[in-house]
Amino acid sequence: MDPQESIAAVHRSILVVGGGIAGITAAVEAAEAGCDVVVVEKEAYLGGRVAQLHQYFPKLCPPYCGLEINFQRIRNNRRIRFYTMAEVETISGQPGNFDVTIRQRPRYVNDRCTACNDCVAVCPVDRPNAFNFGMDRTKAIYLPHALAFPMKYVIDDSACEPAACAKCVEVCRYDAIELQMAPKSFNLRVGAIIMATGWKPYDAAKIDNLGFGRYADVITNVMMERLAAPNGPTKGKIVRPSDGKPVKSVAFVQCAGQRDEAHLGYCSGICCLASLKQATYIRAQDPESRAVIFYIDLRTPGSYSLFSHKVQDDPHVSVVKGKVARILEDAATGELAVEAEHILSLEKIRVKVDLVVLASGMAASLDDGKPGAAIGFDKDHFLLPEETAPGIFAAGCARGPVDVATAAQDATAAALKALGAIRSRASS
Amino acid sequence: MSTAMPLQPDLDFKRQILALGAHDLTSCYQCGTCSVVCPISTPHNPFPRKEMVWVQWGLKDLALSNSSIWLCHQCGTCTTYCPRDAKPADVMAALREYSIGHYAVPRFMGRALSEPKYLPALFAIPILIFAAILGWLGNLTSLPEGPIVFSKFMPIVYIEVLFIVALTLAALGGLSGGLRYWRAMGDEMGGSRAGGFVDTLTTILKHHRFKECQEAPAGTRPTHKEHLHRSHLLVFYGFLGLVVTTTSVGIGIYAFGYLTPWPFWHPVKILGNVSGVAVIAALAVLGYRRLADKRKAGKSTYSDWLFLNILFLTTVTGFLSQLVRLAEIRELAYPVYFVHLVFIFFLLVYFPYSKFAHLVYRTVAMLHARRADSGSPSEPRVLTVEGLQVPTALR
Repeated sequence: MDPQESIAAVHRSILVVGGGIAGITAAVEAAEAGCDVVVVEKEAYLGGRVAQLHQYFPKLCPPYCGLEINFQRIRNNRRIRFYTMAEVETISGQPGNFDVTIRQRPRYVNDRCTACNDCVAVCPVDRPNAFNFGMDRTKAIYLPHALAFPMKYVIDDSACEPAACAKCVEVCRYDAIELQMAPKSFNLRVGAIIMATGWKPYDAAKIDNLGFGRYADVITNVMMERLAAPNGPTKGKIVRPSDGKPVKSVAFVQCAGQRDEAHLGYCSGICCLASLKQATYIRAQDPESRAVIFYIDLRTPGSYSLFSHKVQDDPHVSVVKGKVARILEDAATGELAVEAEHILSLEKIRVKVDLVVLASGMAASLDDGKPGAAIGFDKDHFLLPEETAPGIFAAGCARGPVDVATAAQDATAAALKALGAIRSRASS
Repeated sequence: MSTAMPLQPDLDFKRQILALGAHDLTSCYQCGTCSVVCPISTPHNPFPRKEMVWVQWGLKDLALSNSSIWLCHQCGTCTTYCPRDAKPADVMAALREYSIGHYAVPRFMGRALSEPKYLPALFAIPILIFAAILGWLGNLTSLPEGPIVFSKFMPIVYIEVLFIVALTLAALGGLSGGLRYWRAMGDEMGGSRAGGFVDTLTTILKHHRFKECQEAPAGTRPTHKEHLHRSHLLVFYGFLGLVVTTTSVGIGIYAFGYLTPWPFWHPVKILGNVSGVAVIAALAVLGYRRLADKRKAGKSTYSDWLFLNILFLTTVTGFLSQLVRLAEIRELAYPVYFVHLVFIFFLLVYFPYSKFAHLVYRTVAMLHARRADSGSPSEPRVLTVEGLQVPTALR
């Protein structure tokens, strides 16, 4: 071994960047194998994108259930520490001895918070609720979502005006609010790093022919998850954003900005299943409702095809081969119609629907070059293991778009690799 | 639409279309975006999605006997929105170019105009004919004396007789090609009703389709073909103006004995000069945009450039003839006029086999479509989700 690498101090802990399903799975697996783990999460809560889902496919069960179990494992395991609202700034060093700079934004709420909600009652300003993709608003001090972990409020400092108002501080009976809290930086020394930075929804407004942002009733698939979720902006009632009327018919536009050289060049691999799943959301709410899925190729790999058959057995769910490439709004009534070539019957058709859901895809989270040269990316900003420094491992959607089950498996594999990297250093 | 079973792929046809600038065709994955964003494809004959798969599968008969290839006005919206960058507009252009050769009567003329190696022979024909006439008149060795009058060099009656004969042959060629295409469309797309002539003519004269291409975008992306409506309008009416000028001069000479050259202030002369300027200006724009937007607006092929250049040089040599005549440069005036005549011959007599043939094929296609579509809606049916007929095979 290179003498430079066999320095005396070998750190046995693992840093997990990202507290989504992949990150917390990797953290729990590594900690339960006896390793100290630090999780760094940029949002104010753990759980990531999965926390925003209404149901998983194919079982149609709520993701909170699995998240709760994982949170329990984190809470009960003293080997896991986590920082929310924190991001990795730089990574230096080598396997066994990484020096990582973390920057943490202020939460303005400390651990004494009991989530009593008194502060919200007095807060005078509000903000668009990012958790619900702006479909509703919260106060400047808010709980990220109903089952947030950690169960602590947070202040959005872009909305709060601390100089003019401290009503929340006055009303808080537990001294939990610290308006003077400042951003802080600190360093961590770890032996291995797992990058579980996940994904973000592709900006559907860039798909100029599909009218997202122009027509209120054109939404994305992630927004549909929030509309259907009981803790969402409509308490789980799927209604039209424009007028709040119940939705009787939905068109799903597959490959919206995906497999498209002008947008995401790849297939996210989960959107066909997500649309099939979301068709069941609509069907569950109203026996008269109908859903139509416009597709190029209905991609439901492996045993997921059983789920596809099951959903398509419902006569109120139809699938049409032909991509929707134009969405029109009736100027008088505001009704939407999607236009596609019905390829199997060689006819261009328009279909009138109450709601259009764009199956827009999964973009990589890390697209700003952070956290530096230690990480190699492909052209879509997904992590490229062969161009990433040794001792740093990618898990889940940081490596490419995958479903939740694959992300969890991948995270377990990453935990094993990280453990191996540390053990081999420690024993030599 | 009848579909021959079993399918008989003609892979050589596919290779030839690819070679005509449509290399990216193979990345098409048949999503149908192109047919939807196309501002002029109709609900019951959507294109160019099906044309893409016809070429991919080498289904030559289907591809060449649909009106779609000539209904397309090359606005490039499909290429702009194609998620695979398969450039459907290039495929449609390649199909049009191929079809001119395919329907050409006689066949060899189609080949001659599409391959550079035949270019010298194509020029040799008019050069030899005109040289023979001049030699016979004795004007080949010594230019006429006195003020420059082109009819002293090449008497108008010779030109008239030559062109009437040659253009009759060309017209017969164009007519046969058009008829072959018409019959092919009838066989593949079904028969059509009568009438529609006036409508089709109005559509062409007003350039309705070009206009729709620009005015009905599916989104906001630039197609790099926004100039097309105006430029084509200009070259179209410029050329028409030149035709009217020539015809008027002919009538003037034969009916009234009003010999050329006519004075500048004469309305016909003014029309001729204005039209010439219009043609040159439009061609300058069309040529420039082809070069400037090469990547975005699609590739241009030999046939495309040949037609553009011949039309351009015909007009330019016409102006030059007039200039050197007025400048009284005898040694230059007659040779330039000779060159002008050669270009006119090339442009007009070879028209059914060059890109100029679009005036036959596009008209025929528009007439066929007009008849087939009369009674069927120009906008897609608006269905409810309930009314969607899903083929049972999919269930």
